[in-house]
Amino acid sequence: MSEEAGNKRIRSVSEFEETAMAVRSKHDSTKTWISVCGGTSCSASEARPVREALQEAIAKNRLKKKVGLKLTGCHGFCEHGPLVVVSPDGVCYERVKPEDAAEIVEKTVLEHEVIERLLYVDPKTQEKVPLEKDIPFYSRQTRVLLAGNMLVDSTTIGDYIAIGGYQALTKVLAEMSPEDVISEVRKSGLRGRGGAGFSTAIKWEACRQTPGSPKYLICNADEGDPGAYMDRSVLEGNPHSVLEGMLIGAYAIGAERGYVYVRAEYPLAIEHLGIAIEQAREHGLLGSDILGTGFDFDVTISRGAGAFVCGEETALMASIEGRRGMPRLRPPHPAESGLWGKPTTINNVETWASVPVIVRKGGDEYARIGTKSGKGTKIFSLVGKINNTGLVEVPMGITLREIIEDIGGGIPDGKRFKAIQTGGPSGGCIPEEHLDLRVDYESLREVGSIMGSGGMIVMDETTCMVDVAHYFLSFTQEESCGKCTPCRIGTRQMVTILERIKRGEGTPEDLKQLEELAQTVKLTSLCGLGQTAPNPVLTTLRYFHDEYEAHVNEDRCPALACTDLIYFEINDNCVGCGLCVKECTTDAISGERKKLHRIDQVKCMRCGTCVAVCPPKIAAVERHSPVRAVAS
Amino acid sequence: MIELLIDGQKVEVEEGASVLDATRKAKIFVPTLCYQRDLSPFGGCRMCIVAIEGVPGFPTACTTRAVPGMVVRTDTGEVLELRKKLLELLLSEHPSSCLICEDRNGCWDSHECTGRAEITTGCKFCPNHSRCGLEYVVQRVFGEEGPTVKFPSLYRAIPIDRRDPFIDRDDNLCILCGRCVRACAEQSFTCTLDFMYRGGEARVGTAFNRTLAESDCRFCGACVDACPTGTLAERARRWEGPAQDRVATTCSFCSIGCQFDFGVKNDRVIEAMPRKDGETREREACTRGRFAVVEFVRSVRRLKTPLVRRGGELVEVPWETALEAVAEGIRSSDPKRSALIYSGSCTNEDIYVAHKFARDVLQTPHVDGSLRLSYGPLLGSDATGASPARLSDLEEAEAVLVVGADPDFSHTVLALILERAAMEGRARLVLVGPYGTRLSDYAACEIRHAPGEERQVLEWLHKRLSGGEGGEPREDVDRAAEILETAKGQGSVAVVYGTGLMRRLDGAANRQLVEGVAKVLSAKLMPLLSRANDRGSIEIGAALGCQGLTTAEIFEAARTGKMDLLYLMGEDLWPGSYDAKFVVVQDMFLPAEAGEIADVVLPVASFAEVDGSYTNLEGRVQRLRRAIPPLGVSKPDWQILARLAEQLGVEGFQYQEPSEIMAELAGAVPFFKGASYEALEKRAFFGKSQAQERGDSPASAGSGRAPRSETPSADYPFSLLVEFDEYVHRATPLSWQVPGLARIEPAAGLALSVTDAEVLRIQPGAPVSVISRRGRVTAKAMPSERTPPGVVRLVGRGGEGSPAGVFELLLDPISKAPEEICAVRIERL
Repeated sequence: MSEEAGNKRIRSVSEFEETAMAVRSKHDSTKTWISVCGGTSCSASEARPVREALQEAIAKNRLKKKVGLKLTGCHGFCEHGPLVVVSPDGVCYERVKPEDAAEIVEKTVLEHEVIERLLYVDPKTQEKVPLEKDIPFYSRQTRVLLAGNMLVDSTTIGDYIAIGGYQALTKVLAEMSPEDVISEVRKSGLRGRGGAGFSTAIKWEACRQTPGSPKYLICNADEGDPGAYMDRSVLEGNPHSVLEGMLIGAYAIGAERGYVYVRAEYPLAIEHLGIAIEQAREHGLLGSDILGTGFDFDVTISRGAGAFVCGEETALMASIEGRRGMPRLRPPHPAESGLWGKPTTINNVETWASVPVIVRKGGDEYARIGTKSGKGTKIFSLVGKINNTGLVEVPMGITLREIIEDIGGGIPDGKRFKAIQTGGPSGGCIPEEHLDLRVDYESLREVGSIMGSGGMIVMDETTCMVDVAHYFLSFTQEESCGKCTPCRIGTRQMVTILERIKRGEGTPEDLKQLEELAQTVKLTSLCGLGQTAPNPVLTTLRYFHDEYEAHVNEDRCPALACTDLIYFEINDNCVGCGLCVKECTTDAISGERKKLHRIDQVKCMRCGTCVAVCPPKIAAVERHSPVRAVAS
Repeated sequence: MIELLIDGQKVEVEEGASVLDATRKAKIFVPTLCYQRDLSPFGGCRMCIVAIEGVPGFPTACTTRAVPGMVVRTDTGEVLELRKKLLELLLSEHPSSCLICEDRNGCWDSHECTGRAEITTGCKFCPNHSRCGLEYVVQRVFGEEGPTVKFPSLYRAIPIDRRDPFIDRDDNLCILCGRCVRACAEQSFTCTLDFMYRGGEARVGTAFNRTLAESDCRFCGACVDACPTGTLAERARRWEGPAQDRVATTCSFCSIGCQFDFGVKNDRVIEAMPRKDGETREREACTRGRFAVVEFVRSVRRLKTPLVRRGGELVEVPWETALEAVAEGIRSSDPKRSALIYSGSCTNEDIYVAHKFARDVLQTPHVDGSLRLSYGPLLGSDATGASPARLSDLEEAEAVLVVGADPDFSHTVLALILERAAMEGRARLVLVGPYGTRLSDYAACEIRHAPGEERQVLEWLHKRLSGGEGGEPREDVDRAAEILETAKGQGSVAVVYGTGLMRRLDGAANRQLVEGVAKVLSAKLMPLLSRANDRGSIEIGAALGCQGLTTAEIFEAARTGKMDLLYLMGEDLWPGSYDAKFVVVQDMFLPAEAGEIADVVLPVASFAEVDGSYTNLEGRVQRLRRAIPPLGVSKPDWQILARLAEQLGVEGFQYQEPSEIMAELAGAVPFFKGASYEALEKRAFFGKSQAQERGDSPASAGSGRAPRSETPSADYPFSLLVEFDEYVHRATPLSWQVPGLARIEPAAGLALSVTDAEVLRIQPGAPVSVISRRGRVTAKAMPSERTPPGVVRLVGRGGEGSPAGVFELLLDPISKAPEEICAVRIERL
């Protein structure tokens, strides 16, 4: 659609409005469009071959002029990709293969017939749901930011303009003063979406008031929390929304230069952002004298190099400056002295993407969504033991239960919910008793966790909470920059203790020491990484103390997960099919055909392969804990 | 002033002070590990955490600014507990057996010899034992009971890095306080050390794990002195333990004269530690002062006893025999064919007595110092004119003009002053020279010229600054003049110049010109004299005079059989064959050239073994203090001369103490008027030159053009400069006695531009022949970005053939200083 937006520079606000109208008027709502989700998850699957196959099928049927095909941003329904949506009918197909392409074109496009086998099945009702808008995963969300992902081809600026993109910017440039902008943001109650949840308006105001030039804007796209990929999807799928937010922010604060610090592990996001920047510049929406208003602002992409700590704002700025990413003390805050000592505003991807929405709707309207302390919507990445792994955008105040059960579709394989971890390695595990908690910044803090960047990891009865604590702590220990004693050595000692507990070498003394260490690290660390690293340990100790006690007092892992504390045994469901014998990595299983097989406990290394290959209907291999002497 | 409350006590501090400054003022103990007063605060060790009302958590006192009305508690139960826990964590990584062991108190006092182990597993085996910052904090925080470390040891088992000279790095002891990183960044400006890796792997190291020598390290020792543990340790004093005594003295290796404390144990000098006595902000120490002293003084090649040549060999003899041999040699020599040459490394007392000896004992007019060879133009009249610069003047100047010098190598501490001033934006550096130096990285403007063109450049600059017309229009000269004039308007200017101006046929004229430039700029002037007492040499020489042959002429005479007696006090001859009848060498080491032909060798005590005084390049007279007894039967220079005088029955040399010499010196040489050892104890003493007394510049040194230096031609297209970039004490290059220096000083060879090397297809390190009209020498090629095309430089000693053969010895007719520029061609071997 870029052709429709024209390739020439737009020289004024009114010219932009004409262009936007032209683009929208050309949009034929009766034309058939096939959208293939092109996010990283679907692309890592077969999304691109699917797209190619669809292209061939369209050509074969001579439909090129009548049917459009585009690769869009991430739809967020990642468990069920590759996703294909046919509009205007709104039919949504999941788990599409290239082989299905021809059928989709011939049946759905030409005949408006639905292909049953490609439809989503609601696990609660066991019914097929043909239309995208009816799928509970989508219908229960409030997709203010992610809606764009599903509609735009992020490498085409025209798509973004067609759905109303850059209108907030023109409104700002034509009608609003910088103070007006900050006022709208204040009314909206927007809080930083990166994790700290600091009031965006206050941050902008402080930066605006600080004398100094030039001023800088930074978009923190380092997104280091394991399991979190909201920012990735927004950057890949709708990069212009972030650029527009940054432009508006720059106007409000008086900045001329912006940086987007993207982690190097997001090549698609970097690529799409780069294209978006280029196209915005071509159209006069970025660079000098934007839309002829005399407003200058340009953006540079700065790539990370694989360090989690560079998501911390002072370390991030050091990294942009070419120095080692080690946090420094605040004050002074970035608003006072940031990049190269200049006043700097640094915000998360989602925060920036929310700004155009606020300007378009108005701050008061935006504030109607959410709770008293958490306004608007938040994108969460719902992962782990959940049926509908993916990105969910919900209003603040929704309960955890709704997210997990209604949107997430509940726990797979009929297992029981155990805990949900929020806020990544800085957050905590929340047990079942708090599932009706209304999600916002304060409520999560009250139960010992944090909102963080929005990662939500669901855990079931097979998840060992000691292992979870160990997992997160190992991560932070490896990523610690090493500057301060408590984070560098304290977390290392904590990891050592947890490893011993997992091996069955733990003592009650260890639990006490773990708790003490956690407090020391939390209270004395220099930056947020260290200050929050003990949180997973502290919350699991608080809510799942019995699991720790079982490990320490009984050498037992209640979740049957810790390899040193479990053993495998074949029960009398066994029909002697011999599948496990073939697959066993250490030749530990023996037995005659059609007779009960046996595992040699000395040879067994508890890899779990036998469990996996034993047919689910038979399920003859059982896990047990604690290890007891078994006659060999 | 800001008032705040600390543990209930009212404390007043200046604006900008930290909470830690306030606790120190109130004498309240707050432990620190990563804090160092002269470095920026870091806040990494977390030891200085305090509780501040209204501030959440536990902020670190070193990084928190004191605010009026702040209420601070350093001693709450929680704070004290947290500090102990933090220390415990450190001790779980740091080999701490000696801190935890119950027997440590008894062990501390005995078993000193057990401190000689390869791997440090506890304090007893650590090079930093009893001087360790961590030990100290642990003792203060845990007191008598000592720490208990309930965590398993996380000892990292990293091999000790011994690849570099002087410094060992044992990362197992590192507590990552970052003091070395900050010291390197803020005191040496090279940023050689930094943090690497993350998490449990985090460590301090160099880029790509190169050695310090391969990186940008200056080996100034700032990191070693900053390190609170034994991680960065000086190899030479590793097993010594704490010093028994400290003697305050002056460094003898260059004319800056940094103040040091020599650590002494069992009559040996075990360390040289910089003292903060000077007026400048710099940590005054460089590689030589910091690391070379111990090895130099202790070298096995030192002369311990007198030697006399019998049957072609030098044999040990008692003093009486040696003195009689010298006396006999003096008696049988014609005074007009006798000469004494002394070194700028000798003390004021030595030099004064040497002049007196030449006049009264040898009765010869031929007495001169080695200074003649570098700063000849300064001799015979006032060295610095009416406005001598001090180091503090360099710190305060708005602009500094550096002509014909590379202070980064030759006067590191001075270069650091200039580099800091440039980095902090306080001063603009203008450099004039035939090639680039490390200082070029900090320069606001450079004037590059061909070797030998100095005089012309100075004339142009002088014209520009005086508002005159004429001369070739040169952009760089105009720019330099602009910068200097602006600076003059804003504050003050300083002018520094070196051998690049003085070792020239135009040396005397150059000197006039640079003083003229300084006058026009109302600038203070500083010649970068080389040896510790070159200034004393100038002032004493100015007063007592040299009426006869000068140094280079004496060498020439000795070569051509016109010398009966040659007395070398602390100096060596140029390479060549000599035909003097009787040669006396008086030195610490046997000189390479003169040692071959010496008839008598008299052992001199080192600078650590004598009392005396030096005059530094500022004109500041500073004390040299004896720290240990002389080696063997060696003696101070002045004492040997006095004994000889006695032997020959000459009156006036009955000195018991060097203070007596100073008293006489103060009367005989106007510069030293008012100087005495008592006066030197009380305050800094600056000698005053005649020009300063009069308030004007010295009289003209004569006019007329000197013969032109040889310029390049078709057959000999390169201009060769010989500059032996090495530190010399008396007659010995330091690197000969201290091998570590040889590894880090500029490699010996021929520096040429990268383009010339490419055109001639010469690879780095390849041997090349340097050929002039008169001779040839071989050297290793060292292409360098800093050397401009058309210029080549012989650096350091090494290679075959003596550079002397390449030159024709040309002397400035007025100052008698030699010039070493000639035209050559380069050929691949």
